[in-house]
Amino acid sequence: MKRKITILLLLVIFFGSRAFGQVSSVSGKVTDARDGLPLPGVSIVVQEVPSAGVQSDGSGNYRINLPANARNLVFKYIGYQQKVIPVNSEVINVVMEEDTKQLSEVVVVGYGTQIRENLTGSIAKVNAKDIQDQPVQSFESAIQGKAAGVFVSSGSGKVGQGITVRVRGSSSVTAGNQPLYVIDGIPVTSASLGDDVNFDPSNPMADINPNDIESVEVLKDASASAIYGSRASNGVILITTRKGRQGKTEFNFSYFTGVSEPAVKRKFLNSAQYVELYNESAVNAGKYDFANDIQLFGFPFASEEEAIDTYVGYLEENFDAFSAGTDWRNLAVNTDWQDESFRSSASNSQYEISATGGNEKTRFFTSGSFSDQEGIYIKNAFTRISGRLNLDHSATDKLSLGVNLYLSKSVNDRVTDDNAFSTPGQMVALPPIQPVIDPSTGRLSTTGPYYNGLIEARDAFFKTTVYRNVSSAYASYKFLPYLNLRTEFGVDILNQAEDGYQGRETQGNPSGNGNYRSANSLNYTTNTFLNFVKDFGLRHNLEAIAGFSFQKQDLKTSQVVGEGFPSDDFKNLASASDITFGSSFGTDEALVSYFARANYRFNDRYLFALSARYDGSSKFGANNRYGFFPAASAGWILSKESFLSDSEWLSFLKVRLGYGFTGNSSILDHQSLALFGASTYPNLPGYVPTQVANPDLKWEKTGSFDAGLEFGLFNNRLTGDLSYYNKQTEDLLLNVNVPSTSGFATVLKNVGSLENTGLELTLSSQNLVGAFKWNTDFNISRNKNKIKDLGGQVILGTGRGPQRAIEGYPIGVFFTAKYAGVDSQNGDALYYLEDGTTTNDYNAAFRQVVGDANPEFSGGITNNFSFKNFDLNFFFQFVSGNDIYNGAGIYQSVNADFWDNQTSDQLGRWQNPGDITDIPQARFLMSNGTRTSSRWLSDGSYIRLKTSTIGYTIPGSKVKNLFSSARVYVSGYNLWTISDYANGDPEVNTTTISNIDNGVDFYTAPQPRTITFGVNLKF
Amino acid sequence: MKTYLKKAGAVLAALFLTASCDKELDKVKPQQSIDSDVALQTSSGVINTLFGAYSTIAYGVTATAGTLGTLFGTNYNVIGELFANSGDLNWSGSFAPYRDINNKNATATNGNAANDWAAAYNAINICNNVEASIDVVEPDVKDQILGEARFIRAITYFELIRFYAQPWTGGPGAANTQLGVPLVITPTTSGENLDVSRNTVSEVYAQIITDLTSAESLLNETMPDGRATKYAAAAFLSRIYLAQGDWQNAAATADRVITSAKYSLVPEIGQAFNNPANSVEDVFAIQQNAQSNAGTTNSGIVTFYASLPGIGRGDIDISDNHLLIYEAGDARKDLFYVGTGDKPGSLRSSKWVERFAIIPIVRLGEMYLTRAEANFRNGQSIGATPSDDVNFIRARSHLAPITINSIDQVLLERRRELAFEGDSYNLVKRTQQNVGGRPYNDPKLIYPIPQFELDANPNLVQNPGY
Repeated sequence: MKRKITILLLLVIFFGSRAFGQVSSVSGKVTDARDGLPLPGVSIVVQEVPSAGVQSDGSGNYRINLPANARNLVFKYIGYQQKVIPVNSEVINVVMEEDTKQLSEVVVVGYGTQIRENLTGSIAKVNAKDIQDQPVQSFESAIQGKAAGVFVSSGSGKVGQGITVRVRGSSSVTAGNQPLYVIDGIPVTSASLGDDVNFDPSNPMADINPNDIESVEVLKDASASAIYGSRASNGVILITTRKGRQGKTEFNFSYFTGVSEPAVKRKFLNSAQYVELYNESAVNAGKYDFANDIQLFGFPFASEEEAIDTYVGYLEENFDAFSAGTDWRNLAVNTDWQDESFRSSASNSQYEISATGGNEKTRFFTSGSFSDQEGIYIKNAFTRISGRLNLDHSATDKLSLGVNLYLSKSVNDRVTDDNAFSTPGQMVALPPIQPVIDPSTGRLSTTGPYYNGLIEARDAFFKTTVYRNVSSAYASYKFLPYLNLRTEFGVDILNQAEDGYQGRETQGNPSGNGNYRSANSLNYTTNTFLNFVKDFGLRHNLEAIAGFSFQKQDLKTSQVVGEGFPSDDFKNLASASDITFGSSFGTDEALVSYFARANYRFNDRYLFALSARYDGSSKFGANNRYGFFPAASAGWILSKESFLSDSEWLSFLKVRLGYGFTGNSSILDHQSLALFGASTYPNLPGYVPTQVANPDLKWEKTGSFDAGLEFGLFNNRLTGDLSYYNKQTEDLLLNVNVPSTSGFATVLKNVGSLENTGLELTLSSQNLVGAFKWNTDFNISRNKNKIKDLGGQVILGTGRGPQRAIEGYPIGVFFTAKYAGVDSQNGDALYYLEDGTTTNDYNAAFRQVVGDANPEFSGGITNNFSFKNFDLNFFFQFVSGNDIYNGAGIYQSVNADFWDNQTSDQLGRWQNPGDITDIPQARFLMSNGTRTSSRWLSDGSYIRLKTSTIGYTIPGSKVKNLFSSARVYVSGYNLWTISDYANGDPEVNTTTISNIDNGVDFYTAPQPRTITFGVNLKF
Repeated sequence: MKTYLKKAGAVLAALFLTASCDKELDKVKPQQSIDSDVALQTSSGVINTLFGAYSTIAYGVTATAGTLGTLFGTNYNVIGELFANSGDLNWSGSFAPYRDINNKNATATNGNAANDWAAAYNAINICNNVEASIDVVEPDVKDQILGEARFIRAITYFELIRFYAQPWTGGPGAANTQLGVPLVITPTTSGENLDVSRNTVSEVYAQIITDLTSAESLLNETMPDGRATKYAAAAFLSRIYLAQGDWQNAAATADRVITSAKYSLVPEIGQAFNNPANSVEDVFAIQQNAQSNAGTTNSGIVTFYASLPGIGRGDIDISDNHLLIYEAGDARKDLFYVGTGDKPGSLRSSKWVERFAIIPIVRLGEMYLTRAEANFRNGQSIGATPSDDVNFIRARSHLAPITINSIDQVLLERRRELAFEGDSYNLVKRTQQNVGGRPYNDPKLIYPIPQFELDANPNLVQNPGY
């Protein structure tokens, strides 16, 4: 009897469950809503029995056998909205739509992926469409303003140079502040390996083809980044390249071409204004010298007339020279040197062809790309040719393996940095009365007060060629359905050659000067880790990883400089009769790491995560070689609770909290040791002490707290993320100033602390859906940096602005005399004293904090519109509350104190008693208001129409025989800017990448304004 | 079960491989440097360290060398000439740290004041290290090495005391209690307890004389070019005594150099400059070659002085008035040319036109003029009469002999002979001449104590006027 009942029960259960579905298997086809094409590789699982799942094949077809209790099928595909469809038919065709709500999007994390909904850390993601087909050299430019909390600044409009990236502020004063870059799981070389004596840092990320990138994830808080331990304090940028997609092979061809010009130009004096202002300046100088017995010429003057005559005579003598014998008195020449420094038209173009396809066993993505971009400066250019093959192979159900192969060659025709007399940017210092061509010689003029940069442009080149191989291979073995072992090995080989020649007419090189420098970097990494994913019952889910990693970087550089070339036709060092410099240099570092993470999810709504990394680094002192970096976080999806699940308007609500520790180790190697370096006195090679020992040297440690509120409203048409963070950095790696009477200027110690606190808001809205679509993405972040403790010392910047790190202030404040304008009675420049009164004695002026280079807010807003086949977007990027210091002001905006051509605002100088102006009386050589002060400090806030694109997709019917889809577009970059910075482009930083010296303009190149025309074809 | 064991074994093996990676951390060693203990443990290591001091006083500290010149490679000369400039030259360059010195309106953050200070004390620390480790040096060279260390320390202190403090006044033995510079004569081994105070001028002078006197007795009579000798020490002593107004000792030390017969005047004055190696007249000179030099692009003595095609930036224009100090037919008047390179057209000094040539610091010619001056002032004739010494120098430049009956004649001859060699500053200070309306002890005729040094060391006191 008992047995009969059991059988009966089983039959009831069996037939009872069948009664819902009435089918034993389902088949159908999955297609893409965008283009109607089949979508292979879509995962289809039975919701009630997650282990029962299949994937759609190359034609988008699938067939799934249903277990007894199957009621719903779940269709999942990366980047598409998940669909849940009740099983009520034997044929179910599904159209997948792109996911714009982002809650279910897959986010790449350290050593794995997660669904955004389940994240407990703060991660910003930028997708391929925001990165591709842009006239930029590297992807960082393309993510500028796109991710909250990620501040990107190009520094100047030169092509191929380093880019400042700050994730949630600056966490260090002396060590690096750039994030860690990881491509497909392998940390890569991202800092410049170039010649830094007369050149800006080069950018190793420019070697990577942005079009190969599928997504960029920025790990912002410790919960997300502590898995990268000792290198994570500045954030981690994970770059994931495109993977092969199962199905018919699809080709994609992209091309664009365009032209660039300076987005902003400065205004300088023309010849008439120059001559007038300088004559006035010389007359005033004579009067002033006589009245005050200055004796600048070394002797007293008998009368004011004699003094004026002497000064004016000196001026005219020099003008006669500058003008190369042309009749400057009648303004025979009026050269616009700024125009001479720019190309009349800078062109750019990019070709890209890629293919993706494969079957269940093997999938591939391959691409070839050629990018050719001219900078706006004469001679400045960047080209890159690259190829990629990403291959994934499933050998068995359990074993899969694959490779990512990437090779590139980039060539950067560079110009010297802003500090060099030879850089095109400094040509604006030449007087307008100087002709470009000296009529007496028929050659480029050399008669000005400074070197004529056109000679450098004509007779010199400096070419940086980089061969880059960023590749990795992996094998993955599934021991058990829930346990996977992955091991991967990646290399980043960077071979850089800098080849330069300066002809015999260039400054300082009477017999030519050849220069060849090479840098060879091998950076390799192994990662091996176990991955565990298992549901325990219906409510418990555990995902965990644990593994280890080893990374080593070997760098060797060498350089040879030679002179004595028989003629400028010989440019290689083989033809140099004198080798004037030769050097080779090597350094290496190693990092041994163990890491683990566990994510536990209860009832799909309570989320917990723990992660940690244990790093050992060759960089640190014997006493502190290993560091431990743990993090913990939790999240709660309130919208899944019964009290909110019925809400009409609230579709999603999650809170998250996290706290953890990360480190910063980006300092030079071997800084913990007492070392003697080599000196090279002729015939007496010797030793010089270079540093004293600090065996206690260790990482900078950042404890960071992150709290976030993520929400979706109105059926997720409006989604957002509001985050607060508080990062406390201790044990700063500080070059502590010591009295140089000790023979040393600084000692590297772990001293001091700083903090970054901030708020970030990201909003994403589908304003209009239907035939006319309009969506908006907006982000804004506020970071407040404050240096809390530097052991009582002041760390001075080394750039062109009066910047420093001071306790109680943000890093890099401007500290100098505060300019108080002009004494309306005598035209003297005035400065503030401590009590707020003014003085004309610069040395008596009170030095104080007068400005801050750090922005208060930054962000961006994108509006996308589409109607039928047209698409249109506007992307505005903004920065607010920062100051810019024009370091060249002491030369170019200084009331005609020296020969440099002046910005035209100097015409507003004081002339007569009673004049109200900020520009002092022009008094040649008398240093009236020429001293470093807040005179050249301006508000650097700006909003800029960074990109705008209008595109048209040619209807499929018209191109069907040729292409599966075709789109043409026109894009503009830096089209329109509003800024209070009057002297040039507000996106400016002459030192390019620096901790303290930011926001300084020093003859710095403006950003380019670029228009491109492009086409995307699929076939 | 067996397969699980195998798998676990594989995982353990992999972990073991990583454990062995720990050793990789220890394998990473510096490739361009050696440990400081290693450096000073051997005789050759200490000697190499001494050679590092020559490099530092010539070209500065590698780590801080930037766009400005340093010490004996450039600033000994250029800064001295700019401070003492009463119209002999015009600084037409754009480098504000030099322009401000020339215009006597430098500030406490002047880059040259910072550079020279740091380089000087770096060199002094090297010398202190050598002195402290002298016992490991091989006996046969020990005296020479110790002598060189003390020599470099002394001449570097003399650079500091003349640029950062008010000059010696009141003759030998006078209590010169005005603030000098901190005396540091022991090596720095850690980053602690480094806040020193300024010693008085007389204390610094006493140390310099002690070091140079010791060096003179320890050093060899001759050494390869560039290294200190007994007579280089004597020559610098003569400068110290001259600065103190100790005429007896100034004449005697200069006389020792002259009568050593190790040096002789080059036949024509022009041959004393732009040489690839020491001339017969050089008592002490900074060595340069194509690879190691005071600077060829942005800074350096030749960059500042010269204006030839491709050489120099012509930042120092010689005024036409300067030529008025020469008599007709004076060969030294021909040591000028009209620039043809950068900023062409102005008068330039021919003494500094070869970028990789040695830089004479003490020439034998100076010793004759020092002996003449000291003898004349003291009414003595150690070695020779003032007239004979002056006429010996005049004759080389094709001038007829004169009779010396005024100190001004000796000083004028000295200005002509040593023009644009950095001597003007010492001359102005010693003879208490005005510079462009400023008295010799004007606060703006010396460097400030660098602002960064005041920030790092609360015990230091700034010079008045800054």
